[in-house]
Amino acid sequence: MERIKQALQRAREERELTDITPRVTPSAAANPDQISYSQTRTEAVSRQRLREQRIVSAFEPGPYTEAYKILRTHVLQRLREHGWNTLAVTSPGDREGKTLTAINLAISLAQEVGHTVLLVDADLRHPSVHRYFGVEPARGLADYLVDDAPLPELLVHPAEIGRFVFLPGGRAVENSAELLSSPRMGRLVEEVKRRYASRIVVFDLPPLLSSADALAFAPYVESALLVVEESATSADGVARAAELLQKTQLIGTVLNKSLSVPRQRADTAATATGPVGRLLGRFRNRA
Amino acid sequence: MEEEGKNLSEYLTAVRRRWPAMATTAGAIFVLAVLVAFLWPRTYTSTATILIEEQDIPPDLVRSTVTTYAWQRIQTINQRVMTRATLLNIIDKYDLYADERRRKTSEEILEEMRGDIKVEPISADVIDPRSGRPMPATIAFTLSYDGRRADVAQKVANELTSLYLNENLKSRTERAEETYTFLTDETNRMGAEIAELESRLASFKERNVDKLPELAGFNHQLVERTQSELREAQAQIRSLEERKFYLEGQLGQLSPTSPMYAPTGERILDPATRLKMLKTELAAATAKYSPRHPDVVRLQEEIDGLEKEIGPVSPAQEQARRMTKVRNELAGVREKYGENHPDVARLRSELESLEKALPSRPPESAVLADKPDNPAYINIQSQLEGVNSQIRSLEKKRQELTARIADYERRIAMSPAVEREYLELKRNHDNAQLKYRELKAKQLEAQVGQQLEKERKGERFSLIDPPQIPEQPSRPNRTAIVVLGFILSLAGAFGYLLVAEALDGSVRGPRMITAILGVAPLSILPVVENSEDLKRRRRKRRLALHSTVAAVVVLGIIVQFFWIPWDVLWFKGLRVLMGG
Repeated sequence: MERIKQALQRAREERELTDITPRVTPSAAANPDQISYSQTRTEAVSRQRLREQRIVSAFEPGPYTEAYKILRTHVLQRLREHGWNTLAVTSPGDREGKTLTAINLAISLAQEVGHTVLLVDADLRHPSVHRYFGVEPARGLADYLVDDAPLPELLVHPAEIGRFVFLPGGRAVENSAELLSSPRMGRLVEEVKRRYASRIVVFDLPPLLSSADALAFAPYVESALLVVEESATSADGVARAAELLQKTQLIGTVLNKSLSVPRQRADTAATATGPVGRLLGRFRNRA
Repeated sequence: MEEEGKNLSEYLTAVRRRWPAMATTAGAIFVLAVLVAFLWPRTYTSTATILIEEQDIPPDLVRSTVTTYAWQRIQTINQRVMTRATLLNIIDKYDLYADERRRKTSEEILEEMRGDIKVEPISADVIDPRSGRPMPATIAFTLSYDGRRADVAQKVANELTSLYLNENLKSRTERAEETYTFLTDETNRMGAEIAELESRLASFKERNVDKLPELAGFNHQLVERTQSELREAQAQIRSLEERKFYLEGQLGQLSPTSPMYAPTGERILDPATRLKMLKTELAAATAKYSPRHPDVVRLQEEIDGLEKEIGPVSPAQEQARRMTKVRNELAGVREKYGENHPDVARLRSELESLEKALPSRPPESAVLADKPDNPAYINIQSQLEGVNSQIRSLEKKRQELTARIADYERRIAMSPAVEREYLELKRNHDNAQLKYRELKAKQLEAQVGQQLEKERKGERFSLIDPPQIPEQPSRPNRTAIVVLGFILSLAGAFGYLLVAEALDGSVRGPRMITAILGVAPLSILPVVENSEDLKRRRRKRRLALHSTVAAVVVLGIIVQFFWIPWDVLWFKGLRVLMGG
C-alpha cells in the first residue's frame, strides 16, 4: 500500500515538474516531512565518507555544526524577511570552500523542520557537488539545459539526509555562462521556486571573479551569500565581489577556514588545536 | 577601505598561522649568531701603557729644544714606526697573518696590520698656565696589538713598544743635536762675517785715517793752526824781504874789496879794480895821446899783464859783472831815492835788457871769485846770504804749509762722504755683532738642551704597564653575540610577522570583513581537518625531521672533510667551554 502511495506521489510530482505552468501543490507543500523520493535517485553515502568530505551532517554536534546552525539561522531570517527562497552561494576566488559551504548550508537548512532544500550545482565547468557525496558523475543540469533531459531523472537524494535533494552539474560544458543565462534556466528557476513554497533552492555558483557565470546567473536568484576564506581571499576581492553582487541582494558573508574559532578534527569530536594554538588560545581568553 | 589596528586576538591568530615561518626565521638567525660567535676567530689584545713623563728639570731653567705636543709626537713616531719595512719585518719575525699571506697582497696585509695596531691617548685635564682653565692634555697613551694568539700578541706588542720608545728617544736626541749643530754653524758663519766686516772697517780706517769723522774737529784745528803758521811765515818772509832789500842796498853801496893801503897810505887796488882803473885811464889816454905814447903803451902793457893774471874776461862774465854792478847800483839808488826816481827806472831798464840778453843765469861771476875782503862788505854779504837762505827756507815752509792747508781742507771736504761710508760699515758691524751675540746665546741654550736629552732628563716616555699575555680574547665577545643573536632572532621573528602581515592583502579575520563591507560575517566556520590533512601534517613533520637530520649529517661530513675533523672540533669545543 505504501508503495502504491509512494508511486502515486512520485507520479504526481513528476507531472508537476514537467509541467511548465506553475502550479501550487499544497499537499507537497503541506507536509514536507513525508516527502519520500520515489523518482529521484537515492544514493547511499557512507558516513565515513561524509565526514571525510567535511559534510556537517556526519559530525557530532560541536562548534562546526554550531557554526552552520548560526549561518542557517541568519540566512533563514533574511529569506523570510523578504519572502525569498532562492540563494546563490559564491565566493570571490577559487577553492575558498563555497561548494562545501553551499552543501553544508543546504543540509543545515534541510535539518530544520519545515523546509525541503534543493541544491543545484550550477558550476557547469567543474561540477563537484556529486563528488562530495561520492556519487558517480551522472547527468545533471547541463544535460537538462542542453539536451533537454527530464528533470526528475536528474535529481539525486543522498540517503539518510532528509529533505535534501541535489541536482548535479552534469557533464562539464564550455559555454556555461550562456547556458546559465538562457531562458530555459530562467524557467527552471521559476518552476523550482514556485513548485514548493517551503522549498529553498540553493545554487552553488562558480567563483565570481574568475568567470562570468555567477554574474550572468545572479539576476535569477533573489539572494546571494559570499564565502570568504580567511588569509586567502584578498580584501580587494571581497570588496569587488560585494560590488558585483549589489544588484542581487547580498545577504551576508561567511568567513571560512578561520583560526579565530578552534580547529576541528574530522575524526574526533574534540577540537583539534595544536599546542601553539592552545597556548595562544589561553592568551586570547585571558585578553 | 581603512585598515583598523589589530587587536591582540588578531595578532595571536596571525601567530598561529605563521608560527612555522617565524620559528624558522628565529632559528636561522640564532643559529647564525651562534656560528658567528663560535667560529669567529678569536682575537687577543695585548696592551702596553706608556706614561709621558714631564721634564725633571723645571722648564724655566732649562728649555728643551723639543717643543711639540706629546700627542703630535706620538703620531709622528707612529708614522715612523709603522713603515712598510718595519712592519714587514715584524710580520716575518713572528710569522703573522700566515693564512692571509698566501691569499692577499702585501699591501692588504700591511693594512690589516696597521688596523691591528692601536694607539690611544689617555687624557687628563691639566690647568693651562696661561689661561688658568683646565684643558685636556695627553698624559699617557696605550699601545695595543690584536693578534690571533695570546703569546704572539704579547710578543708583537712588546716589540712595538720597544720600537716606539727607542724611536722617541732617537728623535728627541736627534732633534736636540740638530738644533745645536745648526746654531753652531750659524754662529760660526756670523763670526766669519764679523771678521770680514772688521777687516773692511780696519782697511777703511787705514785708507781714510785722516778723514775719519772723529778727526773732523781735529782737522779743523789743524787747519786753523796751520793757517796761523802760514800767516806767520808769510809775515816773516815779508819782513825778511824787506831786510834783504835793505841789505842789498847796503851792499850796493859797498865794494866787495876793502881798499888796500900801501904803507904810504895809498890805496892799493885789487887787480880787477886796477884793471878797471887802467882801462879807464887807457880810454882817457887814447883820447888824449896817440897810441905810441909811452903812457898809453905803459897802460896797455899793464892791462895785458893784468888780464893775463886775471884771465880773459868773457863777455858773459863781463855782462854778468855788469849786471851785478847794475843791480847793486839799483839797490843803492832805490834805497836812496825810492822807487820812482828816474835813476831807479834807468837802472832797472838796463838790468832788464841785460837779463834779456843773458841766456841763462850766469854763475856767480868769476870776478867775484876773488874773495871780497871788505869786512863790512863781507858782513853785509853774509847777512844778506843769511837772509836769503832764511827767505828760501821760509818760502819752502810757506809752500809746505799751503800744501798742508790744502790737504787739510781736502780732508775736511771729503769728510762727509767718508763719514757716511764709515757709519755704514760701523752699523753693519754692530748689527752683525748683535746678531752674533744672540746666536751665541741660543747656541748655548741648544747645547744645554742637548745635554738634557742625552742624560734623559727631558720629557720621556716611560713604560708603566708592559704588555701582558692576554688571558681572555678581546674579540669576539661570545656571550654578547649569542645574547644579541637571541634577541635578534626574536626581533626577526616578530619583524617577519609584522612584514608578512603588512604585506598580506587577504582577509584575516571577521573584523576585516566588517571593515570592508560594514557588516560582520554571518558565520565563522572553523578549519576542519580530515584524515588527509592529518596525514599531510604528519608527513610534513616527518619530512622536516628527516631533512633536518640529513642536513646535519651533510654538515657533519662537510665539516669533517673540509674544515676540522670532528674529534678535533670536539676537543676545541671542550676547551672553549672550559676556557670561556
